[in-house]
Amino acid sequence: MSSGGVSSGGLVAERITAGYGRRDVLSDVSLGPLSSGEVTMLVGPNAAGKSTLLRALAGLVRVSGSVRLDGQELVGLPPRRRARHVAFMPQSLPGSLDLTALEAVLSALLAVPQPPRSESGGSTDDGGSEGSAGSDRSSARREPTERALTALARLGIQSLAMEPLGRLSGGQRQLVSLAQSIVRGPRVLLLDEPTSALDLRYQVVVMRLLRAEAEAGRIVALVVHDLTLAARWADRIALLRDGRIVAAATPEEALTSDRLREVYGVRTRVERCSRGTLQVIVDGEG
Amino acid sequence: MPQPAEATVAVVDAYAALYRRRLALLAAMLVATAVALTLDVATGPSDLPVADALRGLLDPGALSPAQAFIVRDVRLPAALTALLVGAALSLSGAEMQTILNNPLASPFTLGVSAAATLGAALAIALGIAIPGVPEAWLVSANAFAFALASVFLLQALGRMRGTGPETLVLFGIALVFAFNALVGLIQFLSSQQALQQLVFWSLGSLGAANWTSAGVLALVVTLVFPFSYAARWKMTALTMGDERARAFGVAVDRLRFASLVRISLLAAVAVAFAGTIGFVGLVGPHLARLLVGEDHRFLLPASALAGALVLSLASTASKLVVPGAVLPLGIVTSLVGVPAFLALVVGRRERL
Ligand SMILES: Nc1ncnc2c1ncn2[C@@H]1O[C@H](COP(=O)(O)OP(=O)(O)O)[C@@H](O)[C@H]1O
Ligand SMILES: [Mg+2]
Repeated sequence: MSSGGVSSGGLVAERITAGYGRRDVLSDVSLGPLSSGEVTMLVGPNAAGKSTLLRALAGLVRVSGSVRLDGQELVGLPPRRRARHVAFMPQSLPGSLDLTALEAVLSALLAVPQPPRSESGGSTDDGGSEGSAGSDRSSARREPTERALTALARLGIQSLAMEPLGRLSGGQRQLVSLAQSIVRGPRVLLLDEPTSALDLRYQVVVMRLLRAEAEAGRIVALVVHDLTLAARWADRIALLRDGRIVAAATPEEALTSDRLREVYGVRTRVERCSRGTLQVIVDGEG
Repeated sequence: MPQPAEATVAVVDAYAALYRRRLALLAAMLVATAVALTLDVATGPSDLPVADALRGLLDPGALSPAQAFIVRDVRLPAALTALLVGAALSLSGAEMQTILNNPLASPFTLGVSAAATLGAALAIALGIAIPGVPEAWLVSANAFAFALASVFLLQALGRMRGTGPETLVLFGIALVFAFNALVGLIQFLSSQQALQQLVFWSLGSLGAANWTSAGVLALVVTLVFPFSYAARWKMTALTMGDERARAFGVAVDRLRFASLVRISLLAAVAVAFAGTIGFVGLVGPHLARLLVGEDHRFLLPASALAGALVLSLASTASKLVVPGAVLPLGIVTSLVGVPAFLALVVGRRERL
């Protein structure tokens, strides 16, 4: 967005370098600001660094540079305080544990209990989102069980609450994983391939949910592989390759046939279908 | 996709029912443990009828002074020591399995018991011990000090490479081999008599149990358990992987270190008083998991109770298998625990 200048709202990554051990996967990458109400999708080939970028924003890998949320620096923040603002959903799914879906979501809520948002407000409030954060205020006081069940219900899987994770399918565990991310109602949602194991119906359920989360004032960023899905639901797309952001723009601007051939090495046509959304059609390799 | 409130009520009810069932299970385990403790006190090599021993528990005046002494100052402290050793080892095993994300882990995986054995060997064979410790406590104190020191050594090694489970296990295995080699060296050099004493110690025994050992164990278990329980949700989160737990805001490295300190305290004090009884630390948590699942609100207390129960039964059995003789507790624990464990795994029905 073009706000720049005085307003420092949203999530901004500036010249971050991130990696594992001694190896840098991202160097000198900047992104944002990602604003409240926006859904940003990270796309790109395998090993482009999408997961690493999300982890860097979430403070889960070695990262230098600056990641600011509404002006507050997140790099170097202790895990407890960072988790107050940022939820991260890992790409891997919760294991085949003898733990019910409800308990799994409860653990996300109770592992590190957070103070009610109304107290932590101040530094991260920007006028626009305050109204929506306010609606969370009552939920912070509700029983944890009820909050966990609400999160599961929003993903359409309340009926699975009492099922052990070990008895769920991959897609169902992915939905539980998502419920773990939204249950605390943090300002930033970072989701690593939240739809990779979902059927068509639940892809739509999740996309609608994420749009609603954005409209409630949250900042949403996620990794997807399905470019048509991205074009249909994203406000912005960041296209990554080899640890660099090749393009960050609206779907129309980011997803061009030339760029896709350059990044993926695949010939595609990008067409606008009758309802106005973009469709990426694969023609072949090269 | 909101669902009708009716469905929510149904789930809340189902959850409440599950919660109650698990609490009932914990209570049942507690009762079973109390029964096992009573049996343990009622049996023994000395010539005291079971009925008399039981009567003596309720009314010490009913026994002769010698019999009352056997019940109150020999059997009861030994039985309590067995129970508490079981609880300590099993609770620390549960924590170890969680922080190493490995169902095969036990308190001894990372060299805690090998270090304790080394400490005991030094005291028994070479008379090398912590200065100022009374004679009767030399072996226990040495075992304890070495077990505790091994965890801090492990932690120091982990600092260099981060304390992920793989790193910890690798360093732990290296420590196990190093300590075992040193114990072997001591055995090679020591006298026949010292060797026998050392072997006996390492098989696990309650021969030296008294009110002091029971008291120290009780103190450590009651001090450590609240900290363990306070970390229950963090531990539950950790079962779903480091990255997820960190995303929830858990300082995973700190959690692992605190847990290792608890594990070493529990394992070291247990090993110090009863030698190495490895199996209960592995099987106790598994029994608990089969019964109550992975939610650490229940898993931690259930593990402690399962360990207490198993070791109480094993202690009773160790006095019954060969009439007139007390077999080493470590051996009997495995012989009693393995069939019980297999029966549970094979007969595993729909879990609660
Ligand atoms: N945990 C890790 N440890 C070391 N290297 C990693 C780790 N995760 C990813 N990498 C490396 O970082 C690069 C980018 O990976 P990643 O961010 O997972 O890509 P993407 O999510 O776009 O597929 C890859 O070369 C991968 O090998
Ligand atoms: Mg990835």
